[in-house]
Amino acid sequence: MMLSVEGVTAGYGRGSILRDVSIDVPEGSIATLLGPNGAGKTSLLRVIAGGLKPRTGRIVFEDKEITGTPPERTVRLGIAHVPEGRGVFPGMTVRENLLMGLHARRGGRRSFDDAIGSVAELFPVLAERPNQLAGTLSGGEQQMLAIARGLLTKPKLLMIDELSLGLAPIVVQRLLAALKEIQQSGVTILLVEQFARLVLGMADVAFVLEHGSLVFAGTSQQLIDNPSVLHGAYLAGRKALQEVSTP
Amino acid sequence: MDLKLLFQTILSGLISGSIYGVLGLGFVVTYKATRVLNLAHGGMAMFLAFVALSFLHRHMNYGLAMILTALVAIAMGIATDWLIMRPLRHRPPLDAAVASLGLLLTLQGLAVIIFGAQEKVFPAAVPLRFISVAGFNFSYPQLLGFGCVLVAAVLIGVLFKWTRAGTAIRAYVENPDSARGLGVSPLYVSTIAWSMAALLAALAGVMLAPLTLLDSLRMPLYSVKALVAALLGGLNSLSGALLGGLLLGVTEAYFQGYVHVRDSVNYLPFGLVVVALLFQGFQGSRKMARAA
Amino acid sequence: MNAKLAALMANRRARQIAAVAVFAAVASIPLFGSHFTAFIFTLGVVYGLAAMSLSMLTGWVGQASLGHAAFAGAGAFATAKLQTHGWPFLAIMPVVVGAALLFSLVVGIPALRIRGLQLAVATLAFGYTAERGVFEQMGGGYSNDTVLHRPHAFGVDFLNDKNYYLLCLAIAVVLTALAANLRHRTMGRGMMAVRESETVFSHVGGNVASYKLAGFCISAVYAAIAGVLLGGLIANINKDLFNVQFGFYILAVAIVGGMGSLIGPYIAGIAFAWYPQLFAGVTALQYWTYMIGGLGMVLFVLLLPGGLVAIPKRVAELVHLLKLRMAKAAPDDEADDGEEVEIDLRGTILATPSANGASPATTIRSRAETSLIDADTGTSRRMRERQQLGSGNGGGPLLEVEGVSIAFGGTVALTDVSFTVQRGEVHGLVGPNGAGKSTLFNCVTGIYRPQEGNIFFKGTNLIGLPSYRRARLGIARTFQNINVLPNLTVLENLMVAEQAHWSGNLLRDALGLDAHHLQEKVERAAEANLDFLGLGHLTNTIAGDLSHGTLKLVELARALTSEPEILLLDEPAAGLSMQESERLGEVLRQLRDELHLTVLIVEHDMALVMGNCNRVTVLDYGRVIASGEPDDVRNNPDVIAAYLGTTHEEVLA
Repeated sequence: MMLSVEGVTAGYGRGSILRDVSIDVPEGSIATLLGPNGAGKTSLLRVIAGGLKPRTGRIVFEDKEITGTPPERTVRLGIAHVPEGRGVFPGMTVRENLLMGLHARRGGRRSFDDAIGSVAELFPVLAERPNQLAGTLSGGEQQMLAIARGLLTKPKLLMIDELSLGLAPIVVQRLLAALKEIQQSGVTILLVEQFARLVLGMADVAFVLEHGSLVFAGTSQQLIDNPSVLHGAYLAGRKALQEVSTP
Repeated sequence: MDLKLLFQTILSGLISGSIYGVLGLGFVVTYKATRVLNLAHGGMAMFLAFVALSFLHRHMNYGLAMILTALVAIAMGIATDWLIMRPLRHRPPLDAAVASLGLLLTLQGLAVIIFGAQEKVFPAAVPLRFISVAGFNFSYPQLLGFGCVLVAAVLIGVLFKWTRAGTAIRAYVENPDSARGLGVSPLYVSTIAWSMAALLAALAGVMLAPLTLLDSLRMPLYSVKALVAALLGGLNSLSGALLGGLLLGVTEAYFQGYVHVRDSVNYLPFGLVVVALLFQGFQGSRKMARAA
Repeated sequence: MNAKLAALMANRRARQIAAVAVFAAVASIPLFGSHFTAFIFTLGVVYGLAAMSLSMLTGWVGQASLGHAAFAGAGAFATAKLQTHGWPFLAIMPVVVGAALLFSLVVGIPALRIRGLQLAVATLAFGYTAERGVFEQMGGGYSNDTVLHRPHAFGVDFLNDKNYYLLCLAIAVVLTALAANLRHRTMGRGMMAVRESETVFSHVGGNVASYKLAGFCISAVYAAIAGVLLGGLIANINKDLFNVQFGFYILAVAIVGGMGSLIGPYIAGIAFAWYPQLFAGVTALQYWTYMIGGLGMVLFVLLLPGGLVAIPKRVAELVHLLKLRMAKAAPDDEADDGEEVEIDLRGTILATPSANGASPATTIRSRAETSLIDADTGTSRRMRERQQLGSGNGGGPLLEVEGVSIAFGGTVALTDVSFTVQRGEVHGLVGPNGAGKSTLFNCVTGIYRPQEGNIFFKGTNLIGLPSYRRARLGIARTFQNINVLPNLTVLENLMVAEQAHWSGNLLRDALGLDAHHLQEKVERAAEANLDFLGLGHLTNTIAGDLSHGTLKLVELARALTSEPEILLLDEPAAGLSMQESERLGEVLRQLRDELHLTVLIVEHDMALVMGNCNRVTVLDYGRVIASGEPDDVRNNPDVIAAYLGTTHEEVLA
């Protein structure tokens, strides 16, 4: 396993956002974490990256326990985290944003041109406009920049939160194609997505969170074959039918 | 009105303003990078000037004394960060400001206890000679000081714009979570920021000391002016602090030369703060209206 | 742990009485000592009074002043100046108070409109200007001091140091009692709330800027009075007595004494007045005192942020922690704090009101009785309106959103959004993440101002009204991220909602002249609301000790206590477990059916929304894509597409 999350309970203050969640992400796969908003997906990524300490449970990355390791160290172990809302540095140029991707790498600056070459292939638009301020890029370009910057840290595991947030479907298609290429280059991908249909087709494994608990774990084909899980989680198909609404 | 006198007034205002600017830069560096309003900044400048003076009193070469002072400054900055500011990181911002005020009082007391209560004359690096350029008179120390400010400003600009550390700090200021995710540790940022602020304090201290008498009470009061300078620039902008300092310096010089009301120049800091706050409030509500 | 804390709280009253007794005993020491002892104690009391003024400012409204020496100096110099014109002491005092008010307004109005530490910077500059400009001009040089004469009044000779001490003490006691009184009234609670969260305060109808300004003004007046007393003690005053440094020193006294405490500053004040005697004969004594004051400040902020007065509490905490450690060391005992609270949460949230001994019907009646508006004056306007127009649909429009558009720096967040919330309905506002739901809420409550469109509430256009005015019109909200005031008790948290009804008078409030009826009514209403939500047993618990789920309900109770006509709930189920969320649905229905409240709810938990809303509006990319009854909306293909995404693969077809 590339990554194992074992029985994690976590939250902010006294509250629990995640309750006893366990997932396994196989090496080289694309895994997707689904569920309605507020289900705890973002928190789970933060726990893995080290931004949020779990109250109980363990995080194991490449057979080493990394529970509680802060983000500035997990990135050096090979975990790149593209946060919700992309987290680009809006007042810095595209080039400077990409440079930050090399911050954690020793002597990274010298190899900047080589490094940027690889992401330029993936997202040519970034190479065309190195001096544009990141804040003035479109949403899709910002997402590309955030992913490219994450890739420059040479991750083994790339985690992307809300890939499609606020993006037009056509742009999302392009990003998904890029992710496929990234996977083929040997990077394991953990994708948080609100729109299940977008990603189930290309994901290998899928997890569904609801109210902070894991309600499904399996291959994405299993989830496709079992639509009531998703419909239940997102639109309350099951429960609302059982409950009689009494206006 | 005598035009030449006016120019001379403005120029001397620019020169003293540049010192306020450098002091103001120090406030901005820590405020921007660590969100701490370091009220001890003027006290650090004073204390470091005393340190430099004590090196000079040992008949040390001026350059060597400055280098040693710079080292002491870095140590002081890092110690402030590690011993006082870091433990207060998760507390309300007021706590750090109050702690820095305590540090100011401590440094003032300590300076007298170590260096004595007497006002000290701080020797200038260059002899006090005057030079006339295009009919205007400048003293060598003034020119050197102004030159140092320019060099310091350019250096800081270069540091933030081009170096790995500078880029990392800017990134951290823009989005701390993202920056951490890329390997920038908060420790790294605050250590650099505090060292830089202390270096700026040392520079301002040794620049200011020859122009006035060095004592432990007076110099920290200059930091009131520096804070005003920083506030004029919005507390968040390096160039704004420099410009604010220059503005304050020129206004002061103008009041001293042309407004014949006793002590009128001492009303300036507060007057400018009110102006700055009103402007800031105005800008703030406009920003709100635009964004919201 | 909670039981321990409760016991601690119960002891508080007793400890307060004990503290007063000790204070009285200490205060009478100088009467039996030398004149010098009396001098030191007087100095201590004056330091204490000055520090207390800062303690109130920082501890209550959360602002810091670095220029309080200037207010003290203003009081002293004004007194000395007017004395040379033959004014009697008592006639001067109103002038001193007036001058302090004036100066504090001049400094405070520009500085307090902006969030942050601006007041600290502004007061620092003010102190500098006062020292270097005003005081110097008022004849404060080294050579010619100004003399401030002590008062002659009531046939008492205040030139006698012991008599003067008693005068200072009496004034300090009166001023402290006034402050203590204020603390437990609307004004004081409001100030605490401002310190804890400006957002909450404005959303329950409080005017943040005016509360901060009021706190600053009171503080300045206290400082000015302290300055007069100090001037009278020293007699020869000059600018160095009231320099910027002195302002810092007073702040050090306040920090060491304990910010927010009223007694601590006096303890620290006496300590600070006394300890320099230890250094008798040391040269540059002034600087030793600076250093010790400064070090004290740093160490107390770092190690004992509550100051001297917090020592007993801190010791108790440490003892408790130690006990816990030892208990943990025992093998069987796994009673961890967190788990205890988890149980407590379940118990709380699953308990229905009827389980508390009152049937829902009686709960409503008791709420109606405790409603905030006087029966003889307004006959519970809101409640009556709700009951008349209430229950079910067809109550007529209450909130109308018309063509609202807003963009942030080029990114469009809402485009031409229109919908209507009818009186008495639970209206759901849903949509995928980033659809603009929270933005819309913020437009309704006044955090954002839309660039286009109007929002009508009861026919009044809300655009341009500040949040607190909207709250007073009857709009209450809860927040996505819990926004309770962690250092206050649950009841105090709810009491903040009195702001929605209060338009009182500071002076009357401080003197206790304002009839207690409002406070009592809010208190009863708050308790009724807590019972209604099954939180009755938590009334006096410190909010910060409660679990996430419970806090969500506390927030709801606070919103209810402001007696709103419409309740805006921003993701109330986020972070709740499934059972908790189901219980929340029950509460929602009770709000509508029993309290006849109108509710607008943003929520991602579809079971909650679909099961409990009368109507649902769906936002996607900042536009309304569907609006109607839950079943229609759920089966709307656009909605399904918005939620699950549109791709070639029709996974759920």
